[in-house]
Amino acid sequence: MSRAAVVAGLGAFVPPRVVTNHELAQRLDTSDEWIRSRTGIGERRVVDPGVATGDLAVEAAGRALKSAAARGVAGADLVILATTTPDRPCPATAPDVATRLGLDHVPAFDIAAVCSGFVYGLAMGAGAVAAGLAARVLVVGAETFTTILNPADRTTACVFGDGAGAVVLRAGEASEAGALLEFDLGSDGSQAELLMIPAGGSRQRSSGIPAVPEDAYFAMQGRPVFQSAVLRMAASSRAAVRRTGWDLASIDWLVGHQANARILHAVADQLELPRERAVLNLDKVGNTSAASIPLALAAGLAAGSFRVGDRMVLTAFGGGTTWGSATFTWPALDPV
Amino acid sequence: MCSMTDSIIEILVGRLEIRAERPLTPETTFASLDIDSLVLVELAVIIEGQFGTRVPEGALTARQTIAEAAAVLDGLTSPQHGAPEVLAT
Repeated sequence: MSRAAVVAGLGAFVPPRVVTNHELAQRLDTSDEWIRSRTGIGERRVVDPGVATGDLAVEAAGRALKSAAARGVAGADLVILATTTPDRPCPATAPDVATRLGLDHVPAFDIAAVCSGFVYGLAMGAGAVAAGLAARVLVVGAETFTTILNPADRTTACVFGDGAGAVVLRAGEASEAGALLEFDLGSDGSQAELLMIPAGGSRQRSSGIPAVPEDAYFAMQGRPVFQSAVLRMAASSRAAVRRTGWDLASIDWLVGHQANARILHAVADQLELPRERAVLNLDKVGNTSAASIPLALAAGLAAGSFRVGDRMVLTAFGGGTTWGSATFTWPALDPV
Repeated sequence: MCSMTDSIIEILVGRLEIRAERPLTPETTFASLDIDSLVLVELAVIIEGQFGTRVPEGALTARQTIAEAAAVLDGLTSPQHGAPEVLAT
């Protein structure tokens, strides 16, 4: 049997403050009906002033470590944090998170793949296990996405929220429940402008031209993103499932990046899967970027939706553009 | 034979569950169906899946009739159209 990374723990955390569609409608030209019909989102969580991505990551990762410890896996010897909203541009947020979790001196780094970051992180973690670089890997997706939103931009202000989710991977066998089986990853830099914060990086700084305030915010071209997201997530899911040797019809759960309910339904349609097999929790948390997939997994675990051995497909699409999919079977886990 | 016009009507009614007071005809405009902006994107995605062609951003617009949209899509799916374009540029 080949050495594989096995999901041993899962944890999630969202900040307590709820912002409803009605609250947004008081300051934007929108309504609860408009947001719900176009996105499926009813409310999202938003951090209080002073709370940063690392704070959410520590909470979620602490729960994932506790979940793994309950199954006999203690600690981690590598920390990978996927985020678009690090605590600061430099240094990375992961070393601080590792230290705050008591994981002293372990390698720790951030991944920037926007909404695909968690799937990319899982792939890097699985690769580290397969290569013998680490035996236990903490993979975190954490975002305070509301900190990069233009409050006047209806297309993003209604969609995104804050949160964090994490898994612990351990070395095991591909035949075990929870084993990560196959990945499909990709990117297309010609689509960089579809999802972008134009200012704040070396491209703008080296130009010598001061940034206009709007360029410091995240901007999204909704329609082409919708179209590409559906097509890329469907194609990537298909590729990962084929490599695994599964039939699409045998998939129990499609856990897609929680971008938009209509995107996820369209992906299920493209894969000819019943829409009920697409896990949806964005009605309560919105689009949390790199945190969305582990948050959706944790919601499914808490609801008792998944059975041990269920065939799972994770799929994501995000800025870059980037996309990625992973297959695994559902492990025995306890909600934390 | 199933024309592109028939395909669009079938997708709108069958897949996207668009309900109209009168039956859809080739002369029906998208705008008259009171559909939101994402429906045309969803239509484009389904056409791409069914016909294996790229539907560029802006190819379908609310002002088009179903027949006009079908003509645009027929142009995209015809053999001489060549290689697929880069997605959503």
